[in-house]
Parts: sequence; structure tokens; C-alpha cells
Amino acid sequence: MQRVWGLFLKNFYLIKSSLPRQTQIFFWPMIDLFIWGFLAMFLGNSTHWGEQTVAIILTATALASLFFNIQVGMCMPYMEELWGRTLGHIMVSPVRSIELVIGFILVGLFRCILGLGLALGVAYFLFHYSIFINGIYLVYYFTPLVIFAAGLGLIIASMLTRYGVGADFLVFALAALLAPLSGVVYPIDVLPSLLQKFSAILPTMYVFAGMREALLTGVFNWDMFYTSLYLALTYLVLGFGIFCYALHAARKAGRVLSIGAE
Amino acid sequence: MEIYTKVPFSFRRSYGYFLQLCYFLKNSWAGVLGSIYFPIITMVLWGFTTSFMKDHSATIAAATGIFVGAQALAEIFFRMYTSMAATFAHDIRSRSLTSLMASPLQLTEMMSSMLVMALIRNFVCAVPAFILADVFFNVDIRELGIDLYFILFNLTLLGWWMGTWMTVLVLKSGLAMQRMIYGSVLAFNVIACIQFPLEALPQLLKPLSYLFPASYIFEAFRGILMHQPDVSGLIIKATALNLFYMIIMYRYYFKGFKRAMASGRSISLGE
Repeated sequence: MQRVWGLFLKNFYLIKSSLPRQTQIFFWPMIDLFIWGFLAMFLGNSTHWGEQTVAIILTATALASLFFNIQVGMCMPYMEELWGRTLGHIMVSPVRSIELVIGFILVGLFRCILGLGLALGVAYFLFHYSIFINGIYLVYYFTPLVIFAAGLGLIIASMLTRYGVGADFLVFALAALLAPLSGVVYPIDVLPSLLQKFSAILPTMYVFAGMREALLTGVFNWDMFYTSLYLALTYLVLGFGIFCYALHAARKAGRVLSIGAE
Repeated sequence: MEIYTKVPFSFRRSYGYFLQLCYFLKNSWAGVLGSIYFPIITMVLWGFTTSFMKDHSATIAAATGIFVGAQALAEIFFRMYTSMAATFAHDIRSRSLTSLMASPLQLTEMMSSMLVMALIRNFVCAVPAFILADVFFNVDIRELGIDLYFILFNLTLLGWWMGTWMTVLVLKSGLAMQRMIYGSVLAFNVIACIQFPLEALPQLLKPLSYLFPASYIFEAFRGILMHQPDVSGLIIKATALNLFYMIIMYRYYFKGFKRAMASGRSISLGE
């Protein structure tokens, strides 16, 4: 526990003393909510969703942003280790893989709470929107999203371990690829049937579909929630397995010290 | 990079720097892939959003190209200025700026080769975006008619001066700025009013939008799609603003480099 806390503190100090890092944290969620918020205001009551338009679009954006920020947020500390060439130091310290992973997830959560918290606060004043107005149930959806984000983050971290920081575009690219597949603002019926098959194995798809259903009908779909939760857990276990394997392989091949090199 | 004496413009030097940029590109396949990948993903996202919304919203049904077309056009100036600034950042990161400064390369020559490179990259990224919009989402950008050329011209000007601006910012604040280059795309996305009309912005942000030429360009674009009779006023405003910023940024570029050289910061920028 103490070692996890140490990892967290290290990143906390890093963020505290660096303005660009802070800007990054607050910037993304805010801009995301802005773009979709203004769009929602523009569409307004012209959609079939009627009065729920703004709520649906903003909730979808907030959830997507939560997912994206946790995933990026937990990859960032790993990137910092790679950029700063300190992964070797971590490896010789008594920190174990699981502690490393928990530390990353903590940092991701911390960054996300800060960034999204502020963005939602601004959304409250700008669009008179609060994620809690529509029912506390929505908060349940945070769980699979956080778990899946952690799983995906670990998979990306393993790829970084294998291919070096040259692959750093994956940190943003993979989650961006999932956005159209997850049906953030639209039901996945509009996707071609081939893509729908991919969507079906993404926990995010169930989260957004369930969210829309809950907002439109007021009924919380527990089936969808559990499906997404189990899927997300599968990804987390998978991600953790791959990450441990990648670290182990890197150690064996003696690549740990050179991962940071471009 | 001699800036205190007048040396005539040399195409050879300009071409030399251009070649260097080409070799950078050859070695950074990830960057190139990224600059094609992200436009496509955003286009796909907006394409599906449209195909859903058109059954659900009267506004979208009347103008189906409103999202995808705007996004494809926006890619033009986004790609242009990000690639200009990113290649320059690469110069700093690999510590070759000092060598450039010591060479007889002139600022105008550097600028022109950066511009040519940006135009090429732009072409490589924007054309697939247009084809994608046409083939998969039935949004033919040529429907805009003769105004399309004015819009494209304006977007190129916009990409150019923004690229110059970002380059000087990178020179001034070093690598901290570099990470913000791609992030700034999203910020400009808001005040450029790409997906929504200007009226949807809160009062606080409107003045910023009025100062930013892109907002006029996209207003004109929406105007054409929604069969507004005359958008030439908007296009003239955009062009005037663009030219104004271009002159300012051009001067800013020279000043920025002179100052960086005078203070000797150019050598220590690498880390």
C-alpha cells in the first residue's frame, strides 16, 4: 500500500509543479463538453428526444470523456517513466507489477476527477446541466467504464513496453477508434452490421445504450449493466495479464532500459 | 541563418530544408499514420452521427452535409497548422535548430519550404477525407459550387498564419508548447463554430469567435447548405481578417526568431 502511495505521490508532485500537465488535465474534458454542449443547444428541441436532447448528449459526452481521460490518465504516468527513462529505477525497486498497475489507475482516477469535475461544474452553469439531476443510477455506469478504461490502458501500456515510445500515438488513437464503435450519441443500429459485431464486445456500447434508455424511459436496464460490467472485468483481467507478460518479456530481453529511446 | 544582412532568396537552400523535412517524415511513419488516422476517425464519428440524426432532427435532415462536410473542411486548416508546428518542434527536439541557425538558411526560405511541406501533407490528408465523405456518407463537397474555391483559399490562408503563429510559440516556450499543438485543435474547434452556428455560443465566447476568421468561413458553409441567398459578405470578412492576421504573424515570426537568437535561447531549447 505504501509503495502504491509512493507512486501516486510521485505523479502528484509531477503534476503539481508543471503547468502544461495541469492544462492537459483540465483542457480535454472541458473542450469536449463545450463542443457537444453547444451542438446540443443548436439541435435543441428539433430532435425526437425532445427536452432530453441536451441531457442525453451531455451525459454521453461526460461518460465518454470519463472513459477517455481515465485511459489516457493512467497511460500518462507510464509514459512519464518512459520519457524520463526511469522505468529501470522502478524495476529495481521493490515495487511489484500489481502495485504499479494500481498506482497507474489511481493517477488516472485522480486526473479524471479533477478534469471532469471542473468541466461538469462549468457545464452546470453554462448549460444548466448536472449529471445527477437525471438520477443517481447513472453513477453506476461509472464502474464498468472505469474498469474497461483501466483494462484498455493496460493493453496500451503493454504495447508501449513492447514497441517503445514510438508507439505513443496509441495512447490517444485506440480510444478514438472505439468512439464511433461505442455509439456515444447514436444507437449502434446505424452502424453497418459488420461493425455492429465489434460493438457487441465493447462494454462501452452497453453503457451508452443503457444510459439513453434510462434517460428516455426512466427505467434502469440491469441486464445491460451487468453485461457491460462482466465484459469490462474480462478486459481488465486480460489487460493485466498482457501487461505482466510484456514487462516480463522486456525484462528477459533486456529491453527495459532502452524502451524510452525513440 | 543570417538575418542581419540582405541575402537574395535562394531556391536551393529552400529546397534543402524541404528535403530535410521530407526525411523527417520518412522516419516518422507513426506521425504520418496519425495525421491520416485521426481525420478519418472524426469523419466516421460525425458521419454516423448524421445518419442517426437525420431521422431525428429536422435541421439535420434539411442539410445532411452539415457535420461531415464541415469536418472535412476543418481538417484542411487543422492539418496544415499542426504539421507546420510539429515539424518545427521536431527540429527543436532533435537539437538541429542550432545547426539551422548557423547555416546561411534565411527565414523566408525556411518559411517557404515549411509552407510547401504543409500544403503537401494537407493534400495527402484532406483528399482522403473528401473522398470518404463522398463515398460513404454521400456528402459531395463540390455541391458548394464556386464558393468552395473561396472557402478552400481562406482555409489555406488560415492554416498558414496559424502554423506560423504556433511555430513562434514553440520557439518561445519550447517543448511544453509542443504537446499543446494538437490539443489546441480542439480549442479552436469551439470558437471556429464548426458544427454549430455562432448563436449557440455563450456571450462570453462570441467576441473570440468574431475575431477568428474560421467562424465566418463555416457560417458561410452552413449558409450555402441551408440555401441562404448570399454568403459573399461572410467570405469577404473572412478573407480580410485572414490577410490582416497573416501580416501580423509574418512580422511576429521574424521578431520571434530575432529575439530567440539575440537572447541565445535557441541552443538550450532542446530539453
